[in-house]
Amino acid sequence: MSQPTNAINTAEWVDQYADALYAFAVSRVDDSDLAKDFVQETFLAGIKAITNFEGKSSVKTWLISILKRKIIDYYRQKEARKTTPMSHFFREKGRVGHWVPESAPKGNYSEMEEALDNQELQTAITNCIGLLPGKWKGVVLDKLVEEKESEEVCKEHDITASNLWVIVHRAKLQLRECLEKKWFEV
Amino acid sequence: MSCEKTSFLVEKSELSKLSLKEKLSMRIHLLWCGLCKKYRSDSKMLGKILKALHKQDDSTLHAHVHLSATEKEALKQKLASS
Repeated sequence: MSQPTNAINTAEWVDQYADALYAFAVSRVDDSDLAKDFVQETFLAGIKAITNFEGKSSVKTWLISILKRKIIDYYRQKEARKTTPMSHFFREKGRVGHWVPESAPKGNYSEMEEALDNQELQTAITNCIGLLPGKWKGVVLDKLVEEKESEEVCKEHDITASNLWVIVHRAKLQLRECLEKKWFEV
Repeated sequence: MSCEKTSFLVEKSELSKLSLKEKLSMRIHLLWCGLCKKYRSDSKMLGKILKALHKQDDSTLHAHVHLSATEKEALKQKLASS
């Protein structure tokens, strides 16, 4: 059996797929150095696993799927740190379940109506999505950005409908506060 | 009802039908709670902002994003030596 690495021209891979992988990674992690590491790791993993590549999809799709898994693993490791506890938003003493004043909504989002197509707003919200825990992030992208059917989203992420409601609620609490900070407090 | 529960129902109502009891308790809370009203209006706009993101897919959103020739060269070398 020949060396699998002989079968592929790695330099050609870089020319053909590096930009697409990099753009994808940046859109998910919002950190260019980290994204570059992901691209390199994806190529290395691809070279190693080339014998498993069955040609059912294009090489690009196959490499992107390797990259996706790497990004998911990365967020899984960071998950705990990125979840804002509910006690940050809602009181646990006194008027239990009522807004903590510092984290309460200010109701100024209506001002953003004009800015919907604004590149800076889009970058800001992308950053905020990037700060969500990995699992929430996928749910937010599928349900709230791409507007897929709830049933499909639940199936894909292996969650129940009530899991979906809880995740959307918590993710939106976190996104609302994140974007408010990025947009109004500059 | 608490603001925590109300904000949850505000989100749930966007995803699914609320029961009559849920709908009533949410509406009553929203009548007197200014902060939850603000949450509801912010959340609606946040929803619009997220949907607007979809119109710009990854390729246009990050069309300006690419690796430099030097970076690609370094990457090629690294892969060749692996």
